[in-house]
Amino acid sequence: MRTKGSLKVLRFLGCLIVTVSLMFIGSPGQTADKITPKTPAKPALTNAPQPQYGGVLKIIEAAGPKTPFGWPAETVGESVVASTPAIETLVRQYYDGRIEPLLATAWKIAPDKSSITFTLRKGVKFHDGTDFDGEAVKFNLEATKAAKLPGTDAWASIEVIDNYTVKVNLTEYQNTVLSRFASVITSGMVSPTAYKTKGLEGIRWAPIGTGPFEFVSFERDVRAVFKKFPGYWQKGKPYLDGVEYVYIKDPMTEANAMLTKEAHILNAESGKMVADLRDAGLNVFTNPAGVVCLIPDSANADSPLADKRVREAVEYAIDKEAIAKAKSYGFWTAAYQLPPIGTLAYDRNFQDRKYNVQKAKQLLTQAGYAKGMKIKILPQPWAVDPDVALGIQGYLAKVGITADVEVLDQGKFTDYRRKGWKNGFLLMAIGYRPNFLQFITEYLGPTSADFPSLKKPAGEAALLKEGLSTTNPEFPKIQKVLKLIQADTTLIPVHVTVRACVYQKNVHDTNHLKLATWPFWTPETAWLSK
Amino acid sequence: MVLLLVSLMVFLTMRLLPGDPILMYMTMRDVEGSSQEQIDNIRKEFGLDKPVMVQYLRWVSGAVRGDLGTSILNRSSVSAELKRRVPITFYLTFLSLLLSVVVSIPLGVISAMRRGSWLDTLVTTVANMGVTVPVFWLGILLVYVFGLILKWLPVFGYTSPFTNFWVSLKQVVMPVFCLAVFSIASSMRQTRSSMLEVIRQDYIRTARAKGLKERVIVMRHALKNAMIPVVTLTGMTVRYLFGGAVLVETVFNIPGMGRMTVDGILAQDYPVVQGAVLVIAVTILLSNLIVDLSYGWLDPRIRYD
Repeated sequence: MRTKGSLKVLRFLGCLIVTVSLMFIGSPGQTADKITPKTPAKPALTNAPQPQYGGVLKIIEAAGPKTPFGWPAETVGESVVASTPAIETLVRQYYDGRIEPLLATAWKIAPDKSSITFTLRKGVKFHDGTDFDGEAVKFNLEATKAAKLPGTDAWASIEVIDNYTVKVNLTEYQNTVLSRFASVITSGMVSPTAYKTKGLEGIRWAPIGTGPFEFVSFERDVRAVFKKFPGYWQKGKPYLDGVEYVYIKDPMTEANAMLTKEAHILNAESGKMVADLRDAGLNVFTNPAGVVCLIPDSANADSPLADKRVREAVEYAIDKEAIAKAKSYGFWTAAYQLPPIGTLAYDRNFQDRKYNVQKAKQLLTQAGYAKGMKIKILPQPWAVDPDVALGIQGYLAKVGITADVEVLDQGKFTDYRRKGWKNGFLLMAIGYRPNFLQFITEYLGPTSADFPSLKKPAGEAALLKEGLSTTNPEFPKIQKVLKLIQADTTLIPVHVTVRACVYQKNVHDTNHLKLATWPFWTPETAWLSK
Repeated sequence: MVLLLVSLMVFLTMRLLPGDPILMYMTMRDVEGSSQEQIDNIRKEFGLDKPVMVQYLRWVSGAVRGDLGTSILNRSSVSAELKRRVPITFYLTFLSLLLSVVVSIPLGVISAMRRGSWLDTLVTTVANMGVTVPVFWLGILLVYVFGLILKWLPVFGYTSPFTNFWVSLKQVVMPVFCLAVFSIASSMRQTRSSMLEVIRQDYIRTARAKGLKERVIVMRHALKNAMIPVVTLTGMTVRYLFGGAVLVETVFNIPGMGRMTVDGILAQDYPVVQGAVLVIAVTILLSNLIVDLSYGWLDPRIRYD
């Protein structure tokens, strides 16, 4: 009996050891540092809301950084968002196209447009305590140029005139050039000293910039944590003690986190979830993010879409209003031209190709396709709602066009986008740019590596060059390019997509979605009311 | 041998999928302006320019040395990432298995011993519901009730029990229950039916005739013999738990191995998927081995020569 009793004790102890061991190995290797909110230094006593100090702003993002976010030459997409609290740029561009100083206090374009000279802000420090100066700017710009990032081919060389003056010599002036200095991708400033001492591996996942918040920790798919940088150059800012990005993939979990107030801000694509949160009383701010377009293989001579009348027929055949209404919970609008309504390039006088089945059939008959035809629709995964492709398929069937919708992964779609496709449309979301000519340059310009199967309208290159050559973008010149593209039905816009920001009522002055480029907010101005 | 076959199958299946991981990577990196030369260089860097069998042999040779390669997407070590995530998934699955065993066996026994009573009807009904309920739906329901309405439990996240035990406990309650519910229900049904079969045997009747107490008959003579099918089922449950972990980790935003595997498949990140499947295969093989060894302990007549 004694032996059996001892065995029971031993078994119990064994189970206990296994349980505790598993709990121990369940502990992750590193954890985020805790940031304790402080009491506000100056509570707001007036009616007008005054910024209050303290608190950690928690922002939900659906996806965390996939590529490194500490070295701008490698930083793109979600990674740019993660770097925002820590890394700043020379200038800042707003959604309406306005450009304002940030790390550069002023800039001057040479009379012959051969260079831009930046005057740098004095007294700015990197998070490692080193000075931000002309050499740092040269180091960073040369790194992004060496990485051949978009737009940097326009920089012939970078010269340091003195400690706080830097000249960027240009190969050719284009009025899109300044916006490149507002992008973290091409002009994010990180400490050259940190790069030299820690090496690329030391900083690629731990940004050391001049931003209002210092990097603390990053756990993939969990969170990125930043704390207030006491040496920030804007005196009295930032107001927050810290910023924490929380990465939640599942939309329902995102919504629940907002409803239980476990997070302050949710950046999301518009849709049912955002509508539900709005109905639940949370604040929602939206902005057009771009236009979903049908991109035909018009460069293939044997494709029916090479005929302009067929492209027009397709546009007339689709009830865009119905598609936008059915799928967007009131956020999308039908698109009849590439710039969204209310933006600088939008043409109020353009005669929309509204839904007209008779007209579509008439055009198809004229083009010799009275008995219909067979084409493909290749929707972009993630960015385009698959139901939109199915909606288009249904409307095209009504005019005798049989459209097969091919389900693609991102890799296959990129293959089509880069290498070409046959007998059909890519269905793709094309991002908004404040300078419409930048949009055209990137996607439809003569040097664009995209859409080899798309035929660009004759004369576009010359008009684009003319439009880009003025010191600042000029509306009449933008209009010329836009009209040419629209008259040719080069692309068929379907609907305007909307980017949404849902936020709690105690969140103030984040300027979310007011900037033109990633990350669309200003961390130093944000504050939380108690 | 099994591991080699599994690894070869995963390796070849991933390469049969349409699409190209390098183009996926370039998409994430923003392909504007990238030349074919740059794409070819990255392909070379990851050894994807070599014949498939050469790639496989290289991977196997690395895996034997504990190096499962580098993620194409984020360029981090797959072994290091698995080291961080595997314990989290193991912790969840272990707790689920523990909960399943602790709850299902006593309930199954009680249900069998009180066959036909209201308790038996209740337990059987609940078990039938548990077997059929979808994990993701249960997760959403639990989050709605305990997270949003009652506000008792956090709706997402994972904290190590050694960082903050109470927060950790609150965070794992719902995921562990979701994961365990199917195995509780199926084990309960299996225990009940095994017990019903055993208690009709002659040796149980003999034990009763000898005047042994009912508790002793059940615990010492019936239960141990009834456990063989239950143990087999529990071993098979491990597979189910790893599959369920994918859904549960997504719904509750837990940074475990399941999520990593799904993300790897979607991004066609070959090294990540291969590494994760290898870990799962090893775990299932080990669980099968433990089940096989336990048969000998439960029934001494079973011996392996």
